[in-house]
Amino acid sequence: MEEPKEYMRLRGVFDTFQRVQSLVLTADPPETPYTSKYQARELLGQMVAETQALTLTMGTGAGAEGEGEGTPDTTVLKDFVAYLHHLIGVLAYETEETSAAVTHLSQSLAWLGPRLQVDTAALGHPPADADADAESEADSLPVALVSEALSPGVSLALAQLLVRSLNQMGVVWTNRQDPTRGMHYLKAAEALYRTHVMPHIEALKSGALGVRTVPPCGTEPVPTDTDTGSEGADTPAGSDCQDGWWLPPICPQWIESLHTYTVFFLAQVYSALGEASLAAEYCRTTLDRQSAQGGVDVSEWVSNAVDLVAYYEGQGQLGSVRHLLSQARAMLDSPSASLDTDAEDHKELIAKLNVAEGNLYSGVIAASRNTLTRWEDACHEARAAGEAVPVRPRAFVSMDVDVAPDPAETREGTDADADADTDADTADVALPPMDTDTSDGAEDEMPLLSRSQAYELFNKAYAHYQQALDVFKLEGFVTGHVAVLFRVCDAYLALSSFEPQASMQARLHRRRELLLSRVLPQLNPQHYLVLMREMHFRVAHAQMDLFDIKQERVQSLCEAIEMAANPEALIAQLPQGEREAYSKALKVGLMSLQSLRLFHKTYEQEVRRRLQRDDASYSHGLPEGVDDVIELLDGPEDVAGYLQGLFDLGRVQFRLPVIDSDRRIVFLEDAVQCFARVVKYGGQVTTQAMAQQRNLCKEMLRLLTAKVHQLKRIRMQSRSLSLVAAGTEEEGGTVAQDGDVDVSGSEPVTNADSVADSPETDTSAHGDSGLDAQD
Amino acid sequence: MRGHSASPAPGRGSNFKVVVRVRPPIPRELDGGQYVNVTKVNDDSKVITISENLTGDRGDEPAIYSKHMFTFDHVYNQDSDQRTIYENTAREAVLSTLEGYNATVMAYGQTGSGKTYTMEGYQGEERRGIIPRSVEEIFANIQSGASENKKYLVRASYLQIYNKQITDLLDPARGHLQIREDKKRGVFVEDLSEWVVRSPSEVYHLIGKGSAERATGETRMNYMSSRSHAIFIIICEQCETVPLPPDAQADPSKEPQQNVKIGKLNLVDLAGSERVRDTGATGSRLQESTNINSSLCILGNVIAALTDSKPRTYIPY
Repeated sequence: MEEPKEYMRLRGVFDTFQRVQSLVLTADPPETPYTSKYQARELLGQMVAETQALTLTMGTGAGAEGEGEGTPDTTVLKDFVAYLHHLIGVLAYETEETSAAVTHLSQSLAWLGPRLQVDTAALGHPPADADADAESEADSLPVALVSEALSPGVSLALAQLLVRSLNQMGVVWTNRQDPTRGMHYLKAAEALYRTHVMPHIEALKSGALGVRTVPPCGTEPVPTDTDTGSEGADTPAGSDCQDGWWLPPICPQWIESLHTYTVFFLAQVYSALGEASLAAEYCRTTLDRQSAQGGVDVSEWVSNAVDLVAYYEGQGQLGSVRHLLSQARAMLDSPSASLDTDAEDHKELIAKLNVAEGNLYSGVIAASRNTLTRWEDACHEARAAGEAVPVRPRAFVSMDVDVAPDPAETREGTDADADADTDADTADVALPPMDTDTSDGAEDEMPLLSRSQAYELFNKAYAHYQQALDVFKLEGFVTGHVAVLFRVCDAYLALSSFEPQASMQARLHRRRELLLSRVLPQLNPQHYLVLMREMHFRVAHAQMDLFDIKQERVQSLCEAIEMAANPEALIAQLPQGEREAYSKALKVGLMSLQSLRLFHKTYEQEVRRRLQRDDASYSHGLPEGVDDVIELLDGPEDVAGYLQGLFDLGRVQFRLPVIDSDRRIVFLEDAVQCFARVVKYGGQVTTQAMAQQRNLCKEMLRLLTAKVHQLKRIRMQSRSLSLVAAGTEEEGGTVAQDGDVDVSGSEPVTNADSVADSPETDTSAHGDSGLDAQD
Repeated sequence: MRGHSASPAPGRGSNFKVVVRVRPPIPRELDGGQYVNVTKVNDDSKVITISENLTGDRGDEPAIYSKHMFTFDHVYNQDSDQRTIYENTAREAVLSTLEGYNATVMAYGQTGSGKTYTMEGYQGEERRGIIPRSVEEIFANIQSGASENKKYLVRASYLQIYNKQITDLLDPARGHLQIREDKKRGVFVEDLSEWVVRSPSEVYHLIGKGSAERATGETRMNYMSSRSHAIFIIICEQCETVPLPPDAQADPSKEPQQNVKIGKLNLVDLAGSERVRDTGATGSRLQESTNINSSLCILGNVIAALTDSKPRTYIPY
């Protein structure tokens, strides 16, 4: 039987497809890189024209009597035309004609969308309010349920084409600096997958849909957008010309990959929109899908997972952290993962994973501490208001039990995903349940830990950190090594709040200090100034925590010194133990002062470098018209850091238990200067914490100024009395001797070089606000 | 009309310069007869306006254009020559290396946009790029500045970042190199070879040797598109001996003071910035393109961190 002429024309159109395929794969010379693509576009344009002409013929001609617009044949041809427009759009984008790409992709969407009852026209017109909540916009996307007019197979096939066009539009608009519009297309693609693809994917895999399927081809993750259905496809004459006869065969894995691309693009779009939590959510979904689909580069996957863990850790979503880390370990342990375990990159990746795992354990301790702190604060406020004290937060099963619980007894009920967790350590009982829900962005509220649980978790964290440090050695990995040390310090700090004994707390703070202070002298500030800044700050705070503990031991003594007419004599009469305690408190207070000054010095060095770079004749001091080095700092973040140091400096100097009244006054005057500078420049930092500190500084200024006046008055009176007494004694032929100078406040600390010099009395002349030529 | 600024705010981060060079149309683009110049450089050479045809190829319909303005430290138009670009943009950085500073000149852009032309250029006085001009400037300064008391040592290295792996282009046998941090020296590439050079021709010889080793991939976009980032490093070491004053010269216990300055010039030719979908890449090429894009992304992050004041991580509480 002779083939109808319309089918012959269609066969010609399909023959052209072969040429398009060949042209798209052609590698053009650098002088004419797009020649073949231009030709492919031209051919596709001719195919569109020919098919549209056929549509008219078949819709109105004698050969299609009784058929009109919307009959199966013309509808199918229009499906095909829409697909051709999609391909032209992709090629236009690849040849950097984005406007043309949008035009053709829009035409594809304009036909395919209504076919699947998706109002794609609305997608091209984002709401006028560009700042509207992206999530709420996305919730009202015009995606309907599956059209009942289409068979599931055709619906699925058309849906995957529509997803491809929507994905492409999402990419085009995002790259055209309009991520909001891009987001709308991608969200539609996401919704389409849920409504039109997901319900049929199992049937597709089993062949129940009657759609031709192909296995995945090699390692290619998705079909290229210029794949056509010509290869191996039946021509109309060979088929019964039903819906979708021209469609390329479907690979179930490709459909899943297409959706993976949708969520991956959405992650990038939300990142561009500044929606961090949504971006993270889609990153995590991408990772989950990659993990489920397999065939992924394990190292790459684990690396991405570890990076994402850092985000969730920062959000306090430790259940998500645990879930991702568990997946990462499972990926690495998978027999199918072919990894070169001796490679440097692999070792570093495992070290990063160890750090992340250490952070999880340490984070649980810190989160538990925060829970306790919040409860204690609430109790304090309740008592002050005469209200009922809130109920103590729930504890883990083994709370207040010093013996580690039997994991078999406690595991149930604490770990929702126990089967997935292969780590059967007893400390797991104190971990948050794994959070497998990507949409939950809430911070995990941690139950209280017992001391033994806290130590157990700490030991696990410490073991992971040690493994990381075996790779991230100081020599070769300075920043990485110090970053792990910071984490160890954080773990010690978190653990200290579970330690009831002050002496043990002091030991933990001392370890924080030593970990960093041993490394600091080894580093070259020329290369590691910013890193050293943070190290000095952390050392200072460890010393301040130590100072708090040691000062508390001698609190009553300090108060007595404050009131004593002759403090030197008072110290001299103290028992040896108390004298030593006093001495230690003073020493660690002075050490923290020195660390804070070194912290400030890093800012000043940076400013000096900049001044020298900009003006070769610059030597030292503040440039004309500048009152304070703070005015030269590089932005509000630097100002905030510097002011934090000033606040700490003022606080320590205010509390320093110095006996010698002259030195006491000097320290207090310097504290006044520190607080005054915070008040003066704190307005540049708009954080709530700084506002609170600034208010506190104002109050301290008022108190300290009065105190300094009072001390100066007492000193004057004391000196007057001394002169009178000296005059009287001289008459008697004797001279009074100084008291015990060792405890006067100028006592040297162990490392003489690290003792802070006395601050300048008159800071307005230069003091701490200038740039020292000797720095 | 939308505006963007690619430059750091005035007075901050002034040791960074971001400039744009507009490539003139190539013959193929002119041949079609449809060439439209969509860029306009303002008179102050700091702002470029790009007009985008929003209507696409809709035949007879009048075109509607959207304009986008971008501000840079400098914008070079199509007519700019190699000499002007070197002298206005790169020369200051090159000379600073002789004073002991580290400097970097890098070119970024899509394949075919003229990065290699700008960095390397062609032979001949007018068409030479930044690299040959830098090398000659360095040696010319050394020649005029060297004396009995002032000596120079120039070393060169050439590395490639390809698929996240660093290789030594001048000693490929060294294989997969690692970036390390030394406590005193800062960041360095472990085991990267350094070659002492005494003249521009010796430098060119090394560049030629290294270029032959560079990985190039054939994409559908461009046969010769560079698929790797390449960094040519010139280290200038200057040692100046300060003679003892006459009255101290007789004292055998006193030695002349030596001032040493070490500056490093990094000349970077980045891989093409085209996206994965632009190259129509699939399979192994997709993997390669992905790596190129992600490493470009990392480099972009580094640049952003440097220009956007500094990475601030310290306040831990």
